[in-house]
Amino acid sequence: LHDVDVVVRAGEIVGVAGVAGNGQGDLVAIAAGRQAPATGTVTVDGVDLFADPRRAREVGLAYIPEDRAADGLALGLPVWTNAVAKRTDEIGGWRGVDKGRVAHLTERMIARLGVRPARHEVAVQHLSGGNQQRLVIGRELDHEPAVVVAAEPTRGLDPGSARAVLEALRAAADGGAAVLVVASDLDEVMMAADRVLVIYEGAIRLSLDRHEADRTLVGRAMVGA
Amino acid sequence: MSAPVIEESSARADPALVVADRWERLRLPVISALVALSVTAVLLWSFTGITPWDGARILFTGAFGGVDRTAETLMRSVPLVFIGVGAAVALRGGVFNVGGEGQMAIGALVTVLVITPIDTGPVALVWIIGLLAGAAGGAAWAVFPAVLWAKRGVSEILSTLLLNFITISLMTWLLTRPPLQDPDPYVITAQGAKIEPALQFPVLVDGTRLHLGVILAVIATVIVTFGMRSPAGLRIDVLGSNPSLAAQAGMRPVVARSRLLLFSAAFAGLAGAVQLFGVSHRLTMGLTAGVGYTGVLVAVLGRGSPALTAIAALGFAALTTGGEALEREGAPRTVVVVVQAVLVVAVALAGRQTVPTRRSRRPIAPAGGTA
Repeated sequence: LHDVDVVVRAGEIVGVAGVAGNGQGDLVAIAAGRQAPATGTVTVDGVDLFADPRRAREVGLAYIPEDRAADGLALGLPVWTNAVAKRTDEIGGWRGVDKGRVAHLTERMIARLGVRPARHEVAVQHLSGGNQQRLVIGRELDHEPAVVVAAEPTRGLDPGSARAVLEALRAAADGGAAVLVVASDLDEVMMAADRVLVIYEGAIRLSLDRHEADRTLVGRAMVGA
Repeated sequence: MSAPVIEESSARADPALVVADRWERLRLPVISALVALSVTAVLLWSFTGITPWDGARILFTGAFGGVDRTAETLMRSVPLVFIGVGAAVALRGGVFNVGGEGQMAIGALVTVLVITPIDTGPVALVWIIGLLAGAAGGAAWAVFPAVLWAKRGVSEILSTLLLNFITISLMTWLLTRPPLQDPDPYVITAQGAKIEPALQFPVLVDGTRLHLGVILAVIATVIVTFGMRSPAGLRIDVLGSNPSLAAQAGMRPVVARSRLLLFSAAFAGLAGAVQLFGVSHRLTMGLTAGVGYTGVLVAVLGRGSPALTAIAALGFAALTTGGEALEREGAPRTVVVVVQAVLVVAVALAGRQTVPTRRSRRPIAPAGGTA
């Protein structure tokens, strides 16, 4: 990456389009506070993330990873464990885990995008891909995040799940979150975003508002033309 | 917000699925155990003429027939429980500590070093100090593998295993010269002096070797079981299942896994202290007797559950005492080792099938581009 200067305002969805392999992976990792940029900073409300996942949590950053299995879910564990995986400090009870609190949190997270089956004990690997993604997004949006970083949020999903995911991201933005969507699917970016950026060979080559964005223009920029 | 309900997925809302999850965890180990036992029974029958039925009867009465046999089985399960429960917790966090053998020996060594200078004070206090010293010694013996892994990425499986062999040499060296060698001039084997009789764990059933340690083993299992149900246990599960997710949740996976290695090593050291107070009453080269390895197998059989691990430990101990009875009937002692080995291999293979096919659903070709 070089010369990447992306500002996402509260209440706005910024979509980054680009052919896979042009630096999106690094962009997402840096924006989500998982990787340190060689130069420059990532700030949320003026607070530097320092590539520290703890800091990212503190500033209210939601992260929807490209690879659910690798970064988003513990597939062998039940739905409830995955739901509260990032909230373990909130669920301590007088004898281990406060089951009522866990059930309440889990129910809220799976209800947000309608995970089916709505069962807390099922191992996540038994859910369909669409329902796994609904669970990830339900969990990440549950704490009313200030910033959402989403990588390929609808890739490989059935149309119903894809629509639910995009609606949830829009709802988060309407709730005041700054949302960054990085995707290789041009239609998805153009449909979801208020502002479209195009990344090519590690640099942002084009920035358009939604009404200016035009398939041909964006498509050409994606291949460096 | 309301979300569209997908018809396709409603078929998955089957209560049987929940039961299936629970059954799934037990099914493969149980089937494996039955297969292992059947295979061994047939082998035993064809080589010694002991029918499977007789073999099972001899094995069972040898392990649990009467107070003395049961006591012996329980006594043998004690160090397995300590090592197994510690290893089980580490396994859940994705750490494979096979250094129990060395950590246990060092635990016993440090216990002796710490309690020998103490010549007064209540016995219970000396025991507590000795047990803590054993745990600390075991953990200390895992610091080197933990640092190698955290700083250099050296597999903890390799380093903890190899450290066992270094420990054997170290113990041989220490126990064949003063000050640790048994001062009795007629002793020519590598062993230490006997600890004070007052410091030996009391025998719970007269005429047997069943000692106080069995109660400590139960207490340890119960404590760890509840610990694993706490938020801390949940974090260990997440760490073991997906370190990346654990990092997002605010954990430092490298630090957490190093701690787990030390934790399981502390349990191995505790096993050494308990074995010293309860059975061997002195440092010997045979104090660990392979339980450092067997304990890990027991944890694999128990699939990370402390309670199941304790039960598996009892089962392995029963196979050992029952195997001695089989031996008296003319069967080779190794039959039992074969059962144990087949059992572990079967469960390990069964475990592989449940590993999710992680990346099978990732699309290969990127969408959207026209380049």
